[in-house]
Amino acid sequence: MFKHILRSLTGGPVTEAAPAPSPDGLAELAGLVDRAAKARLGRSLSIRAVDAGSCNGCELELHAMNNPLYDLERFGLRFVASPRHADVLLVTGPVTKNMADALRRTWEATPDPKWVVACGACAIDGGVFAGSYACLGPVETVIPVDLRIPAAPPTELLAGCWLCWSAARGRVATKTKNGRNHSFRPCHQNTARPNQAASGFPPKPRPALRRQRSSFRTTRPRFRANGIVGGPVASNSARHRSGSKGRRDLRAHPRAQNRHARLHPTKRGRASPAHDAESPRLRRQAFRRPVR
Amino acid sequence: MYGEEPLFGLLNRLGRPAPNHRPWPRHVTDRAGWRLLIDHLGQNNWSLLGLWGDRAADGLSVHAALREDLSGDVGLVSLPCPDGRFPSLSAVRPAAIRLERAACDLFGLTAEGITDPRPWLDHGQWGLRHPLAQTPTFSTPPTAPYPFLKSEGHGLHQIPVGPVHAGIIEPGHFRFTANGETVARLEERLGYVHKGIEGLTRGKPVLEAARIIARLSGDSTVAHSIAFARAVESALALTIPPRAVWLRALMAELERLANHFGDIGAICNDAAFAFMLAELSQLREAVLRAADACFGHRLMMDCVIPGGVFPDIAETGPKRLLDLTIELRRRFAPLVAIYDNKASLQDRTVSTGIVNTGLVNRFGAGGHVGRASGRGLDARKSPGYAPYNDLEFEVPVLTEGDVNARVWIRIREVEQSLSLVEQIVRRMPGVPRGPDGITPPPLLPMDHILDHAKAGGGGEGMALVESFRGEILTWVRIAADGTVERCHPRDPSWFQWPLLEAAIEGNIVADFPLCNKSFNCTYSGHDL
Ligand code: SF4
Repeated sequence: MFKHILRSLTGGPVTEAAPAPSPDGLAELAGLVDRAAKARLGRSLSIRAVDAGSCNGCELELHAMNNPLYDLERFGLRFVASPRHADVLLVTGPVTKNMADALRRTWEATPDPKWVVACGACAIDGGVFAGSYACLGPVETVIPVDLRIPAAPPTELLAGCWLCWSAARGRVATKTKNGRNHSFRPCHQNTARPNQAASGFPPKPRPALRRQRSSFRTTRPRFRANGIVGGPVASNSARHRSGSKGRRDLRAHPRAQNRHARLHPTKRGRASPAHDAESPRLRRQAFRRPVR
Repeated sequence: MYGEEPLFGLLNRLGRPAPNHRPWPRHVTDRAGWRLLIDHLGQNNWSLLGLWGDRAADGLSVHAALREDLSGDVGLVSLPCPDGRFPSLSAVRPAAIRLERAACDLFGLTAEGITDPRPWLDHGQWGLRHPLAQTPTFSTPPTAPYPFLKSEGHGLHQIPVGPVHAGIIEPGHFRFTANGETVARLEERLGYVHKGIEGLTRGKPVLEAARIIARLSGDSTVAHSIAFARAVESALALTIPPRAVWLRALMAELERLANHFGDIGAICNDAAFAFMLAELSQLREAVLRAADACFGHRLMMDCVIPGGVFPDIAETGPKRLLDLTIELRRRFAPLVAIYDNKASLQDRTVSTGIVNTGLVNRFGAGGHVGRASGRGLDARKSPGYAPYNDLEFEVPVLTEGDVNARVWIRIREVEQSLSLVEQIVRRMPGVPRGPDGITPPPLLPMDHILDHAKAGGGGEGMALVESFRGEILTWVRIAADGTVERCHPRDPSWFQWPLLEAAIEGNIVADFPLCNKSFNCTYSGHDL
């Protein structure tokens, strides 16, 4: 065991560098999206994976992205356990009818702003399961899809993530380093988003949930909620900035509190989801997180 | 417990064998014969390999596959059910309960006297009732919630979990009833990932059906593909190139290695020892990359097809695999030592989630679940199939039945699989070059398969294949035009899921992830 630890300490990380920089290489894409993600969300992006009937192949590859060789977290993308903590729902599988309700409710439980990524052939068009009596097919039949990643193996998935993010920002890069064409496309324009109202998206938040959230906000110091939801970056930076030792100090420090609330208005309800949609300014602010 | 009568003795008395069923006979019986079978099942410990509904031109029927474990004899019994009813086997084989519930959901076949008549795969969301029956009827979503089994008493509380779980895993619902920390009862509710695979394969050409079966469960895609391919080949009496047989085994062993590495790591991770996951996921990745280099796909999906294997292993493949086994041996041994010596890890795994031998035998569970509890059956040995009869390997068996035992079974199987990979690579037969100087792939041409189907008027076939979870049973009926009339893949998880409910009883809720991971049953493969 100690030998192992020693080797780990001295041997350097096993994580592979992103492949050698080439005009369309992964490295560049990583950089590209690093910037993209930074501009929108600071450094972190929380992904909640939802299996809506996949064969488990997609899940295996998502797991692989977390292994030390690919180490997705080094780019600030990480998988979280609850939809309440998530910015992105990553949906796999041909949405079985038995899972449709659960998927819809997971989507409702994810705070705004949120994106939905359909991952794998099944999630995009039903794959080999299209046309079954038990499947609904593409994810967008249930919830609006923002981005599509047709690939499953981790390298491609990794590349796909980056491409999607950059594409979402309007920089459309459609070729991988192999020169293969990917059909990554920003789907904001052509899916349910623009006519959300017509299609019934987003469904009204459930009242119990709202009430719970607001009471949470008033009875507890805000930074705590931030810390839980926003991850270590947010909470640590808040603590550092205020220079305080504990929770009470921070609460007593209105400026720190205000500043924090301004930086993190997204999930904690200062700007409610409804607000967000109406006010572009607030919405833009909502994307911003501290960049260190 | 052991009856006097051999399985085939009884089957021959029950009815006549159906024509064109290979490699084992299928006896068609009547209600009286079926009842006699139930009587004998109570006296003999033949294991139930599967039970499934069927709709042929002459109406509904139900098939049951049985095995005499000692001799390895396998037999099938069929009961035509013109009125859609058959006497239930659930009283003598509790493993039949969920299979009968599924047959009822899909075909409308009612098991008379079943101990649990609730729906299983059908959650009332399909818009159809009995989708595979002659005339499916329309249905509306149910108004009442699913009735979970009751557990009442002072201080009991319920914990519902799922179907969307916290990790990157498949969906299923678990209803715990706990007394403080201790689980008094766990009830599973599955079927969330039911994709209608049995319906989808119907009427499809074999190659198309093979693509669907390959996506039954991503982690055992090779094993399911082999089972399907072998069932089709049996049905049509095809003989495939010997090299394909060996390549299939090679892929199956690589798949076993990759999954066992992943599982051991994940079990340790659930015991809060993330170091093992980090190390073992690297080994898993090494196997997947080697598979990618050899066969062009990391999970080797669609590489095994009826008629053979496509593509052949890459030219550098054998060398790469031999290097891989050396590297894996070098890196795996110290990790096993760490697992063995870490008291904090052993504290979590030893004596957690015990399944006793009696229960494992009653449910006929195979794979690491069965072998960790003293049931040492392996389809590669009994009934056995090529090329394993020519290879040397052992089937590890332990009797403790706890999480630790299931980890050790995996560790030992990794060692066996490493040796199998080496043996296969060294002894695999080559293919002579064709007259044009090109080596043909180890695959029968499609025309040949179709000709066989036409000449023989189709046929029925069954195959038993050992996946990393246990034995898969696949039964097919192929029509004369080479399309699939009925395909029933039975994943080993059908017989392991019920045991998980037993394993967690009396353990603390916090140990459930550990138990669940040590079973690692498939949701997708089970829900079909
Ligand atoms: S896209 Fe492929 S790997 Fe993913 S769920 Fe579908 S069949 Fe499985």
